[in-house]
Amino acid sequence: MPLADARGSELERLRIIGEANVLQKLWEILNLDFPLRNSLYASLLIGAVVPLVGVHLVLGRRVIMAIALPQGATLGVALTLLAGAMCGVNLSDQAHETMFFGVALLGALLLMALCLLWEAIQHARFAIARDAESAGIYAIAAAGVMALAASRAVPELGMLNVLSGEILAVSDQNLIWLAAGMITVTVVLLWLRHALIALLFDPALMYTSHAPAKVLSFVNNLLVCTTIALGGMSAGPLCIFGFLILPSLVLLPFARSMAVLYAGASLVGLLCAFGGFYLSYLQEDWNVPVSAAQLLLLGCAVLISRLCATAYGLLRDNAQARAQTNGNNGGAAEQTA
Amino acid sequence: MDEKAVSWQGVSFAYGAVPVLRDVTLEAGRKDFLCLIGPNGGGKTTLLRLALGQLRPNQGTVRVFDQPPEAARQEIGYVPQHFQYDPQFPVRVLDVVLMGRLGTEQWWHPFHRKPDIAAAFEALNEVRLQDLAHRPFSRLSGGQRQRVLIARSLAAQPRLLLLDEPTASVDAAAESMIYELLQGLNERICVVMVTHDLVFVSKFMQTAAYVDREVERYAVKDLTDRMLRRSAAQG
Repeated sequence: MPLADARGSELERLRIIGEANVLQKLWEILNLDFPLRNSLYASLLIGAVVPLVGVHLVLGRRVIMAIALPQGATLGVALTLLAGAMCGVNLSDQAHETMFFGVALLGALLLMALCLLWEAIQHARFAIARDAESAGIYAIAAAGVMALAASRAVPELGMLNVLSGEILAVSDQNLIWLAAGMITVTVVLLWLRHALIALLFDPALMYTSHAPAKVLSFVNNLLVCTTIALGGMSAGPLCIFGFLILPSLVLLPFARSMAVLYAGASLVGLLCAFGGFYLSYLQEDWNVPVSAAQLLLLGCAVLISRLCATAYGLLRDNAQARAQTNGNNGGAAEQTA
Repeated sequence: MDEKAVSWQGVSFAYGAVPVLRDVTLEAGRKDFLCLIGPNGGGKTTLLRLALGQLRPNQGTVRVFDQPPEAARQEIGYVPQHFQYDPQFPVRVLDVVLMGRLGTEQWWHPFHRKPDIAAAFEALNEVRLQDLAHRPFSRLSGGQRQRVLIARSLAAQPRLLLLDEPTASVDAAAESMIYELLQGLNERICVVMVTHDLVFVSKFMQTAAYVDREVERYAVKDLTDRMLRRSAAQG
């Protein structure tokens, strides 16, 4: 018995230590002096803004393109590094950090523009299904990224970290650029939301109306590409794909207006970004990449959403049936009276 | 001289090497109700798309209120033949109708202005759906959705309404309600409608344009059995 008591008290002591550790780690993250605070802020920006443009990809039925574009952006970054190395400039050098950010952003945008242009031309000229074309782009871009990331031609700049979605080092300068870009995207998207939503809902209407449909289509693509390029450089293609699609999937069964869908997707993305970062930091021994933890949380959110939607549907059906029954009963009672 | 709402003068059009319309001359006045009937592939929808400025004729001219169609887009309301939408798209009826206002002015405005909302409610009132303004679009019946699309085209306060088979996928009750609505609208605007519903045409129209690459305008009583059979068979 004394041995059992001792074991019990040891377990209790470990539990208390564990709880203290959980709270301590949370406090560390929330502290303004947290060493990885820039990574956390970058995560939160990505979590809040990427789902906003993801809503447009999901409602526009461009989900396959949502996975192809981040790969295209990463290939653009890798090609930028390669081009820099061929010109004798090591962009991975700390001294070229700002230059790298600008040039890599440009490279990512160019590659994504090429992907969209290719898809549009193939669809228009040969009537090839957009999804098939997007999937082809994804496969080619992914192969290109793998080849360049593994080769010695590209200077090491955490490419493998980017691919695995490990957000570790975000400099102050890069964080400012990321924040400026994400805030600009959010403002433009919300400012033009009525026209962009109409374009998604009924493209034919826009092309027969007085509104500049082609300009709006270009703006929509630019917002998507800029967000993917900015986010992809910090968090990697898989993470961006997840944040583009999963928050919308969580909200779609419940959203009754676009405002709810935008706000809800952004909030879910923000919470999962923070939660994933915290879990990854908490379980240091497991060495789970931040993005993987965030996406797993988003996956859990989708599952909970589906369960709630099912329960909500059942409840709603029950409520309707009950109301109908009460109505019938009321009618019968009136007749009797 | 009476200004024409829409006119096609000597229009020929081909999709690549496939001729669709040949030397078509047709017009509709400001208060006309013009029904386009004819077999599938005869060029009815193409005539509407030419009037919308979506297509340009290979020969001839298309004028809308004496202007090129591109310049007169604000004067045109359009209800498409096939409207595919995602049932999960979270828009309310009012949101859909307000989309019709984007073509008028200030499409970049971040908030709907009072005149836009007033025009949208007026259009909903006209199709007798004002009570459903805040209902999700996906919760409506097929006939109600079609009326919302008509309201959307009316929200821009057009003087010419183009409809491509507006009753193709609705039940008989909704169909008669839509026809009644269109006849009411025709008291103040020109209506051009593609239809396969010859019952409506023979009951309410004096004339109809039979479109089969070429166009002839007939008094309804003069439409031959063969024409009617070809039109109705594909409806």
